[in-house]
Amino acid sequence: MVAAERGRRWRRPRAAPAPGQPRLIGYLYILPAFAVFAVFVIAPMIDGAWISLFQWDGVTPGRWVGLDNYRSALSDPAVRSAFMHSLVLVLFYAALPIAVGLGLTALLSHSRVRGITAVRTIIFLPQVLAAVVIGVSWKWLYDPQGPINQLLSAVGLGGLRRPWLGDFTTALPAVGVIGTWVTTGLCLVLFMAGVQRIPLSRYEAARVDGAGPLREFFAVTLPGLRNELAVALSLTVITALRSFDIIFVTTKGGPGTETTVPSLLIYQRAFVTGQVGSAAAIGAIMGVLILALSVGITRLVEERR
Amino acid sequence: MAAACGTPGASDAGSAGSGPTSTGFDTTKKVTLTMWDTEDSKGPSTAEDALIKQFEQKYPNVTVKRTVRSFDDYVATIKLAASSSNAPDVFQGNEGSLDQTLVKAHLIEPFDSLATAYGWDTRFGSSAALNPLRWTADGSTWGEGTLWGVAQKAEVLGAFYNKATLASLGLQPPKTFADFENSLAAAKAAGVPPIMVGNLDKYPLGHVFMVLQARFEDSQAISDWTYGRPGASFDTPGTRKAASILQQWGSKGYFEDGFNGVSQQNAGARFAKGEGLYFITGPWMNQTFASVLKDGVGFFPLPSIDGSAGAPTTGSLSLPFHVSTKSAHPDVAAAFVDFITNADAASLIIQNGDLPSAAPSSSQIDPNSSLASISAAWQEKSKAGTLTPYLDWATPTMGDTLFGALQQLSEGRITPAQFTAAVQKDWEQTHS
Amino acid sequence: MTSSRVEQTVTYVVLALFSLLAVAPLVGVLLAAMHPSGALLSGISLPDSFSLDTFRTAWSEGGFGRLMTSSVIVAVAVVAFTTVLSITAGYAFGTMRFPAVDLLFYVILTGIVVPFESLVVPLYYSFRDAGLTDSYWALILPQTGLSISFGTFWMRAFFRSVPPELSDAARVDGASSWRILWRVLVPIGRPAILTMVLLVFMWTWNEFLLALVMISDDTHRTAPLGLSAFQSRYGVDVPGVSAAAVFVAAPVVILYILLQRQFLRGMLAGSIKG
Repeated sequence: MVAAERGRRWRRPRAAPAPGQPRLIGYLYILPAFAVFAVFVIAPMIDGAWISLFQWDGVTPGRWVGLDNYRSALSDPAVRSAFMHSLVLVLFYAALPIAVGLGLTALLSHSRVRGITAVRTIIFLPQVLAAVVIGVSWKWLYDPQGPINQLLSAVGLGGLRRPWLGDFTTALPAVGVIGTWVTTGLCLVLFMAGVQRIPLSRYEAARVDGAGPLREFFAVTLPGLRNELAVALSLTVITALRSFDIIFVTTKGGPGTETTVPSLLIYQRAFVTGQVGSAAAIGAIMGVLILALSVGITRLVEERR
Repeated sequence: MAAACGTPGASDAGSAGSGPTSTGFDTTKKVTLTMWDTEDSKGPSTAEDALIKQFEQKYPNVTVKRTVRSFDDYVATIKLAASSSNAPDVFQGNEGSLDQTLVKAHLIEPFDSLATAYGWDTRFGSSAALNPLRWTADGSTWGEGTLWGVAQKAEVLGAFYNKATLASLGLQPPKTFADFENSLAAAKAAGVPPIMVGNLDKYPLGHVFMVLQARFEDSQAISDWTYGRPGASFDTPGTRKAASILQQWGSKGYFEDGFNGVSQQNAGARFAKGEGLYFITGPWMNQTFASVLKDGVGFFPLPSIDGSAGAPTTGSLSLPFHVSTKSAHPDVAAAFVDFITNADAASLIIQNGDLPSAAPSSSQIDPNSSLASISAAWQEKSKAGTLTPYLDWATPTMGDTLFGALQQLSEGRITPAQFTAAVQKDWEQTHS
Repeated sequence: MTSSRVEQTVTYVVLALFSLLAVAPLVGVLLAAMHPSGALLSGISLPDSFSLDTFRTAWSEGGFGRLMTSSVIVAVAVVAFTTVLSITAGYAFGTMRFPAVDLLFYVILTGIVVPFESLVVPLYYSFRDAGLTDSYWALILPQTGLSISFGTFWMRAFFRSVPPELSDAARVDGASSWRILWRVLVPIGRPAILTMVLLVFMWTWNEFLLALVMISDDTHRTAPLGLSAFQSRYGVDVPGVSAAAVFVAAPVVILYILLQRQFLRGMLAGSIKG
């Protein structure tokens, strides 16, 4: 075969490097980034796993206990309830906003709205605020003398006034509502953008088949939003599982332990009560859980290309 | 990273030094001292700032940088700060497990020679008065052995009361415990929050409970338990009675609305503005109230059952100041500690409405003020030895456990029996 | 598709409602900040006089000059390091083949899902052993490490989207990969790089847990941490705390308003970082 022809046949589509040969210089390019990543992310992960095998107060030398910290973490009612609370937050941070986002998107997918950019900017705003700012703001909103109680009194529901963040029954949902406020904008914007990408032909085909709005939603809109759904689920579920900043600033895990979540337990045990090994174990469990969830969500929900 | 290559923490501890032994230091070298404390209430904080200014004026070569944190923030961060390479030169500890950790890890200088040199062993009453600040050098036994810190102030817990409000209810300051409970009912009936407490911070209700427990349980038993003596128990009839009374107060609405969601700062500010009848806390809040209510605020320790004098209540020397073994200027640090705990400092503290542990050089306390009542209570009870210790000293996790359980008890979510059992369980994890 | 006027109206109403809900708390905080410092507020209320005094008091009482400076230093450093490292790594991952390229990329990708909570304990104790707690490095290095995950992912996606003809042409002219990267590709990658810069800046500026654990002194404290401490100490002063919250939120919000398209593009396009 002529060399030129061989060259032409060898030209592979876009993602290939130039002439097909491995570029060892690539290692040099990734080295600095990888070095920093290895030292400040991978090494601590390994370190954390090591520390989790000790009983340590952070100040005096530690004592080897093997997998005890993991065993006690899994049977410790405090750890269990912390993960339960996280699950509740997942409802508020993920399930509710996604449902609302999908619902609204179904409503809106038919219309062209003027000023959508401005609305998008506003609705998305909570996402760029520091969690501490959000926590501090909502702490005042929920204050017994704050705006929410003020609003309730103003509309004649004064009997519902309560110390939202200090009441054993309402504290966790109250924190959850903060999360809903933060992530609903994200979901809405995500789905609205995603819906624009669904080809109109599919909607028309459904119309022709005689589908009503409900079937249209399940047959066209929802499947078309699978990628966005994956992103939304990942982002919101992970935010719910972390949520340290907001809880630290609003309730510090209280009242009692009603709003204690694993990330708060880690902080308390590592830095306040001197149970560093246990904290590291919980941190490892959290990391694995989040990793598994991310992979799981992507695998299950994302559209196969 | 270092921790991965061996037992974590093996290289963190400081080295046990003998510390500075004489007073005085080189006044020609420029020195910056870092100081950490948790005196964030109005009066005490002003006093600390003023003392720093005075010290800097006396020794122009020294600059003092102060970091102040609220109590729960402080205990969350001080252990780690003390073990870091930038440990503060002078910092407050807390009697009990916190100090024990500091001693065991060799993070604070022993004070025995300094105590002799500066006269600390006689400054605060008797040498025995400093016992809560003593630990054996290995950190195993509390209350004896080496001296590790000195406390600037004294604390005795009791009820601040709004004189006008009490009068408007047609009542006199209660003489017996029954009178006290009647006044609570009367206030509640009149729509006045009987006891203001800001329990979002968790510890305030702890103080209310402690004075109740001191009323119904034997002080020696409370002491033994707090000091971790073998066989001591929290689950006693007296303690359970105190717990059930606290629970009743909660269910009868004797605390202000939503008290578990109100911060101590907020509750204190509202009491100072006239809301509520009683505020059960210690002298550090005095200035917060007295600066607004002036002579309209009074103080009394919780009355005894039969009205006799001398009933026990919670109190002790306040948080001790320590010198870090990592300090580059231990002699300057020691001189500073001496300066802020001496008789002149005591006068300044009084002027800012708080109770010093040393006898003041000049300032007289206004006999009509709440501070006078506080001081009288302190004098009487510390001399008679009828002060019970703070329960959260007992274990590193006791603060969390006790205060969290109290939040639940106050809302009727757990029974007194469950409460005492939970607290005892925590205790046994450390002391069995 | 046509839609009825009813549908249109409903849409507008619903969107307006959600916009209101999103913005109302923030407006409330802004209003609160305009009240005199130390006032005991009950609910949202219009202040008697709109003054900036509370902002002034909160700024000096909270030491926000120092706090904002620290935050700027850390954020700029993290952005700078992350940008350079992500561009080079993304370039290699996106255009070159070498043994284990995919594996190495996935390893770096794990950083996107690893939460700081899992790393903060070992990080703290390592930095303490090295005597580096209470320093900017304690904040810059770990955050750079984690930001590299997103940055590399983002830049790789960009480099993969560039038509190979561009670099081929340059290579024919004898340019080295380095020159191709910086002279040819980066200039056309400005929008993508800008998005990455904005997102990394925002995440770094807003970071709280790492600062809480690493920083105890006043000199290196970052703004979010300062806000939390301010709220602990002066929590009764709702106007003051609100003003402090405005300070911390302002830089990112301003950038967001000016460059929202870049922000949105980055946060929505398959980003898995929380």
